[in-house]
Order: sequence, then structure tokens, then C-alpha cells
Amino acid sequence: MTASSSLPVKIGLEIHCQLTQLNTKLFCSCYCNYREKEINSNICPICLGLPGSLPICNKKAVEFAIMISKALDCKIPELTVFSRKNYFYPDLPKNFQITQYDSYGTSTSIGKEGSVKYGENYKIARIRRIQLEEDPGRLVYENGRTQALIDYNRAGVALVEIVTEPDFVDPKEVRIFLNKMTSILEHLDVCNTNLEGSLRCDANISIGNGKKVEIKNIGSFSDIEKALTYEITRQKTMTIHDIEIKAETRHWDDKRKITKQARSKEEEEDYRYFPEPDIPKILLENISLIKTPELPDERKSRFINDYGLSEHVAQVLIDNKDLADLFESAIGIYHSPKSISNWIVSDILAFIEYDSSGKKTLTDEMKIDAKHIAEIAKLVDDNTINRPTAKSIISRIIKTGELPSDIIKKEKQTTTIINDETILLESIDKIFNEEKKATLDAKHNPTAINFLLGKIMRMTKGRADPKITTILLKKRLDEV
Amino acid sequence: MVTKDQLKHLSKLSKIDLTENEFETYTKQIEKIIKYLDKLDEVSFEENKPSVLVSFKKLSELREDMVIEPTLNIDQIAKNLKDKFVRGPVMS
Amino acid sequence: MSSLYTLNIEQVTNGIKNGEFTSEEYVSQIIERIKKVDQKINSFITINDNALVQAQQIDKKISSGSKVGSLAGIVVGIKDNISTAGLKTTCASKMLSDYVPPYDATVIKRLKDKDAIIIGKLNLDEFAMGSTTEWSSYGLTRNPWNLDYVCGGSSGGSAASVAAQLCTASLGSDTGGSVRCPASFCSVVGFKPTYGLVSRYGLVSYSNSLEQIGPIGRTVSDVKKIMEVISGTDTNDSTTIDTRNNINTNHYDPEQKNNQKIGLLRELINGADESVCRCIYSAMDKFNKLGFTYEESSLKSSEYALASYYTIATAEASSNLARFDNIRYGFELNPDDYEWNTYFSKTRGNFGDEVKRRIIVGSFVLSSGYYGKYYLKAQRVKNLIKHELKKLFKEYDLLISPTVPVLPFKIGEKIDDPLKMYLIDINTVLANLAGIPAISIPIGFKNGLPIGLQIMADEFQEKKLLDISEVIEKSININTSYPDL
Repeated sequence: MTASSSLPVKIGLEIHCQLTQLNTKLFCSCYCNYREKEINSNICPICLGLPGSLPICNKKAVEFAIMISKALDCKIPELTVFSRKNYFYPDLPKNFQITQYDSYGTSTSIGKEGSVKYGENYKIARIRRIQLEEDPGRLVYENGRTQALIDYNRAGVALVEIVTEPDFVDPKEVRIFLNKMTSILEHLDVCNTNLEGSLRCDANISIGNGKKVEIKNIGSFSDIEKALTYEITRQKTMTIHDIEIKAETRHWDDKRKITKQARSKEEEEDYRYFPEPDIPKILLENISLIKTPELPDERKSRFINDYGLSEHVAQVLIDNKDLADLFESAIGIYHSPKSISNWIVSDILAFIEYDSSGKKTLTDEMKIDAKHIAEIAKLVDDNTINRPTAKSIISRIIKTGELPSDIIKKEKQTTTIINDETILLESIDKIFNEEKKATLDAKHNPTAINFLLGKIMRMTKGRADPKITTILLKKRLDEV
Repeated sequence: MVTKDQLKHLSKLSKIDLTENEFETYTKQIEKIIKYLDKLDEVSFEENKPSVLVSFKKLSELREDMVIEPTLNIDQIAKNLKDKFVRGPVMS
Repeated sequence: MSSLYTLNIEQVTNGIKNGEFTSEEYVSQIIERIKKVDQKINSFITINDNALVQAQQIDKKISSGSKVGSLAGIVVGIKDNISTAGLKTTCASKMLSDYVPPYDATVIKRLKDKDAIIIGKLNLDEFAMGSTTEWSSYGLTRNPWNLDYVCGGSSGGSAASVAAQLCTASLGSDTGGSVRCPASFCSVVGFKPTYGLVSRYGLVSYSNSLEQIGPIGRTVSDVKKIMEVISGTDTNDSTTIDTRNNINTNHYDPEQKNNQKIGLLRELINGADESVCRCIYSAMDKFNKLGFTYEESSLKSSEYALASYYTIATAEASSNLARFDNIRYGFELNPDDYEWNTYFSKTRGNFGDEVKRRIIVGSFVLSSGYYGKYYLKAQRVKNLIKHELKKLFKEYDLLISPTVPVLPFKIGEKIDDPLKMYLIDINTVLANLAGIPAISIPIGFKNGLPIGLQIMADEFQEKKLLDISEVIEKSININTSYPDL
């Protein structure tokens, strides 16, 4: 038996990112956004692979890929080249995929040898290569049947594949890294990661420097941790019992939550790569003119340095670009970064559920936006309403989109802060009557004052202004 | 030497069914052809290689990212349709 | 008027413009002649049913005083591997026996824009793979000069139909000589442009880095006229090249027409049959009268050209033809109940022998372990040849050779020996590998069988090549007869 504790785990990732923010596909002018289109209606001779059709490369797709390469600190070649990956499959209109491939020591894919810092300790994950390629069509199955139905609407959509070195040592690291990667891609505005299927990831794992196992068919990023954990356990168990681990491809079975064998690496497909003759080499000149938008790390630094946010709060905002955008819009209306960020991070986030990828995102159904948050923050800062009231209004705003000031107008009785001394003194006297013992205590004991204050707050349903009430309480106590 | 086994592998790779007869005939013919292609081994390239005349396109000359409304009707091309899907074979 | 089918492009367009005859009359006569003659040679796969209506429309345009294009009224035959919208495009293969493209190739659009009429689709070796048109699944095309002999290939139908006067001109495609070889065998003019000069959008790819669409006509002048219309950059084909600012195209000075230095490629003539050589030399005797000088020159790397060509061409073909799996288009085979590997392999068994062989060889030269030895090496040889030719063109204005080293041969003579067949291309592949323009013009006969002279120029020197070819053509002056069909 072999001890499993000493077995080092190595995990590498292959991330496929759809360039959803393009208008057209990679090699033709059909729509990039194929979702919700009628079956086989978003096609042309090129993406259907009709005889005689020729691919025409999308300039913006190359620019997006360059931006990704720059953001991941990759080396970008002078000339980039496309290649054919030859294999047969019913979702592949030409039975080859136009992609990028480095061979014989030449490196012509759009980026190589980069790195990404992630996690609290700024661990580094190395990026091996980045390449542009086309998505195949979709295979769909009727209930209970194995005969494929093919929809080509997606065929030809631009993908960027990001391949890392096997630098990850546990599934948790992978998840944190993927969150960072998602954030970077969102900030570059090349991919709307909320769209289904826009970001996919395959992994390869080896333990104890053994053979590499590829895991494919992982549906979403949140499944990756589960799949990797399972696979590591599987391999470690086998190793303990001295069972040899084969180099193979395994598929993640989401229903049964296991990995199962797909294809042995020994029968590996011979893809017969060669340079794509229909697309000339592309000279990447003047790429310094291609500016990347502000990246998450830069934005986070700016939040901390310029707005005085804490590391934690800044990180939460950055992890989800929507929230960071909401924050900056809100402080544009009412410049109070600390309080607005807190409102977002502590209160609004509490109302959002985790989505399938393990993130909290504002959905279209949530009707809260910058103006609402700015108003709430201002109302509280001006002492027009107190915190508890504000918190209770937020859930209503999320559902209805009403402005806080409108809600307060409507619900004046129950929302506004009571700072009218007459009313407060009435409440105080009432409480003195109900809590005679505590009142006597309070004359000498400060904590008892808090008890009385608490009672008054409850009686006024949180609307009494705490500061004024405390002053009045003390005054009244002296008079008793 | 191109063997019948190699030919079997290549026919699988190319997804082309060959009859027994074709395997027999093609093996001999293809072996002759490959032998002729082996001529390439005789070429000696000089030390100072002639500069490879590379033709390229500039990034700025590539296609603009503008949609052209798709007008292709799948019915015009594919014969095996089901609810607008193209019918494929059985996937195991 | 009768015998309108004997007219060349200028005579047809002028005749119609001047009202000597109508477009409808011309097309009717052509269709009549096709019906009468084509059964002997089998050059057409499909006739355009709409041709007469299109002719009538041109007549209407003219009679109403509207402007018509420079090719108004001429009929062009199209090799059946070039996409024509609404007109079946089969590539002479069972795999596309019912395929009707939904779009026109760029060259077709350009011809139509000039009011040329597409008369029909012409026979070829299946997927343009062959040198005799014997590999067509629609039966072979016979040489109009002697029906027992091959007409050359792969654009056999394109050359034979022009020789038989069944169309004013035609389009073929040339990957390793497929326009020039049949032109030579049928005693007509065939031209392969510089790579990148004519759009390949719509041409069903066989070997994308080597092939070009090229015109076949009765005279160099006719070929020029077609070239003017079909050439030029195309946004639908990234490999087309903008020549407007190209040094080479402006290099030629027409005043120097009579001062050409011509090189005869030694390696290419030494391998040719005696009768072919004699014909070439006797044609060259006339050069001195034209003021040309010629001498023997050598292209050392030419002996590797054929190996390089077949490596690259089969490699690209194996990938280009992968799309034919019968799922989206092709002949009918219901995919129900077939496991997908079996389905693909079964339908693709319907390719012809030559296509199957080339796909297999192509997969081989790209396969793991062999890629470096074959494909990569072949690319290096391609560059070497291009480089050596560039050097030669610094010394010579033009390079010449026999188009084909042999006379046209009997049908069936080489069909059982693929390698013997490949050797037909040995003189023509150079121009495809180097991407340079090349033409074949008829220069004589032996025993009634045609012989062609190949003339090559440096890339983008179309104007020089065509002008000088016209001068040579006039001096040889054999184009007065046509086969009696």
C-alpha cells in the first residue's frame, strides 16, 4: 500500500471563453448571439461549411484575443497563424475545426507564457498558451433517443481557449482562480459570463507525478470543485491500493456525481494539424494601440486607495463586476464611497442568491440600481431614516424599483425618524411608567439607560432618533 | 513499405470504407505513390536557407465585426430535417 | 445567320450589339449544337434550362437602349466544381449528385454582371483529381480531335467544349495543370492566373494553396477578355491579393514587346516525347523573327516538384473533402439507426477510386510521425522552387516548356497506374507551386493529336505574359481549324 498523504496533486485547466460581446462569428458575419434564435436560422454558406465557402477572419475577435493575452501578461507573436484540427464529428460542419496550434518549436498562437495572480496571497498561476478557435454546432437529443439532432446556429462562434500550466494543487485553489479569471474576462468586456455556456472548463489531474487524466464535460464552474475533489479521491484510493492509474479522458457525470471513462489516451485521435491555407498569416502590428479596459486588480487598488475601502469590501465588489459598476455609478450620484459600498456588500448582497456558477449576481429581475442606493445612503446619512428602516425598504425596492423617497412619502407613518422632542418625551414617560424598576436603576447605572433606550426603540418601531432620545432620556431621568 | 494494416488505420482515420478488393489494389498503388514522395528526402537545403517568402494580411485589413442578416434557409440544403434540426446518426 | 457557334468573343458581342443577330438566336444555335454534338464527347453534365430566357432578357435590354455588359450575349461553360446558384454543382461525384448551391461563386457573379450567359456545367475528374477526365462519375469526356483519345484533365469538359465550339469560352480550375493540360490536349488556349488574382470563393476546394480558376478560350485574346472580368480582389476570399500597388504588375513596358528574353527549361523538355520536342523547337524557330532571344535554362529543383505537389495537394484534399459526410448535403442515405462512425465511413465509400486514394495518401502525409518527413519537407521544396524561379525571372522575361511531355493518349491507357498518370503533370505543377501565371497555347499537331506550348512569367506579370503569348500565337498561326463534329 502506498501512503496517499505524500502524493502531490497537480491540476491544469483548459478554459473555453466564448467572445459573446462580438457582433458576429469568428469567420462569418452571422450573429454571435445564437441563443433564442430559431433552430438553424443563424447560418450561412461559411458556418455551414458548404462546398466552396471560405473563412473570413473577424478583426474584433483578434483584438479581443489580444486584450485577453495582455490582461494575462502573455507574450504576443508578431504573426499569428490559424491551423486545422482534423477530426470527424456530427457537430462539426467541415469535419475540421479552425484553431491555433504550435508545432516544431514555432509559436504562432495569440498568446503564450503569461501569468495570473489570484487569491488572498496572490498566488501565481502560469498561463501556457491562448488561442482563437471556432465553436462547433450543438447536438441535441430527443427524449430517450440516442439519435442526434443538429443545430448549427452556434457553429463558428469565436472562442478563446486559455490553457494553464498544472500549477494548482487543490480544487479550492481552482475555484478561486476561476473566479478571478471570470472577473478579468468581465472587466475586459469580451464575455458576458452570465450567458449559459459562455465559459466552460476542462481539467487535467495527476497525482504523485503519475499519468495525467483529463476531465471533460464539466457543466459549470461550480461543478469543477466537486469533479476535481471526486477525481482526486478516486486516484488517491487507487494509488493506496497500488492500482495503476491510466492516462485517459473521463467525463463528469453530473447526475451521479462521478467521473467515468470516456476515451483511453492510448487511442488518441491523430488530428493531423496543418496551417489553414485559406487564411493568410496575420501581422499583429500596432497592438500597443489596443488598450485593455481597467482590470480587476487595478480597479481593486483604485477602490482601496482612492475611496478608502477595505481590502475585503473591495474584493467582494471586484469579484462581481456588476456590483463594482453599481458602486461607481452610485457614488457618482452621491459621493459617499464607504457607506455606499457597505450598503451593497452587507445589505443588498444578502438578498441575492448564489447562481449556478457559485456567484452572486444582480439579475434583470432585481429592480435596484445606482440611484436607489445613492438615495438610501443619503437618507440615512442625513438622518431622515435610520438604518433598520433603510434595511427593510431595500427588499421592497429590489422587487418594485420604487425610489426610497417615494416609499417614505407613502409610508411616512412608519418610516421617518422621530426627532420631535414632544413625541419622544411622551414615549419616554410611557416607558418610565412601564419599567419603574429599570428607571430607578438607570439613574445610577448607564447600562440600564441602554435597556430603556431599547424599549423606546421597540415601542417606536425603530423610528426614534437614538441620539436625541438618549439626551432626552438622561434629562428626564434627572428630573425624576 | 505501406502495409495493409497501415491502410486499414488510414481508412479509419479518413472515415472511408474500403472493400477487401480495394484494400488489395490500393495497398500496392499507394505504396508506389509514397515511394515516389520519398524523393523529398533527397533534397538538400543549403545552410543559408532562402528566405521564405511569407505572404500575410495586416490586422487592420481584416473583416469588420458587422452582422449580415442570415438568409440561408436550411430547407434549401439539407434533406433530412426534423423540426428544423438536421438529423444526424446515432451517437453511442 | 448560321454557324454562329464559330464566332469568338468579340465577334459575338459586336454582332449582337450591332443587331446582326440576337442573343436568343446565338443561344438557340449553341443549344442545338450541344444537342447534336455533345453526345459524341460528353463534355456537359448539366445544361442551364434558363439560358434562352436570359438571352431574351439581354435582347430586351439592348432593344430598349439600356447599357449591357462587355460580355453581353456570350455563353460560358463552367467547370462543375464552381458553385452556381440554382444550378446543380456535382464536382462529377456521387457525393454531390443532387447538390444545388444557394449562392454563386464570385467569378460567376462577375460574369453575370457583364451579361455573360452561363450555358451549363462541364465535366471534370471527380473533385478535380485527375489528368484525363476519366475519373468522372458521369462518364469520361472524349477528345474532340479523336474520340478514342483522352481530352486531358481535370477540366476536360471545359477544354473539349471550347474545342467543339459548344460555348464561346469556359472556366476551369488549375491545381497542378488542370486547365493547361486539357487545353493542350484539345488545341485551345488555357490560362492559370497568379495565385491570388482570381477569387476562389465558390470553387469547391481540392488544394487551396495551389489552385486558381482559369479561363479556356479559342484565342489568347478571348482568354484576356474573360480574365479582365473575373480577376480582382474579393472580400469573400482572404487569399486574393490587391495588385494595384504591386511593383510587378507595373513592371512590364509594352514597348519592349519585341525584346523578350526567353528561357527553355531543360529539365522539362528533356523528359518529353520526341514528337512533342520537335514541335516545340520548330515553333521556337520563329522567335528570332519576332526579335526574341532564347536559350536553354535550368531549374534544378524541378525534379522534386511533382513529389512536393502531390504531398501538399493530397494533404489539403484529405482535409477539404472531410466535410462530405452526407449529413447536410449529398446523395440520400437515411442516418436513422446508423452509428455515426459507420454512417460516415459508409457514405464516404461512394467516392471514386482516385479520390479515395488521394484522401488516404493525404491523411498519411499529415499523420503523426510522418508530417515532418513529407508535408513539412514538401512545403520547404515549394519555397525552394518559388525562390529559384524568382531568380530565373531576373534573367529571363518568360520561361517555356511543352505543356505536357506526351501526346494525348488512348482512353484507358494509364487508368490502372496512378503514378504514371501523375507524371502527366510534371511540367505544369511548377507554376502552381510557385504561384506564378502560366498559359498553354496550341502550337501544332502530330498524327492529328494536339500539342501545346507552356509559357510562364513571374507572379503578377499577367499583362506581359498574355501580350507576348498573343504575339507568339499570331506567329505560329494554327488556330484556323476546329474538329469536325
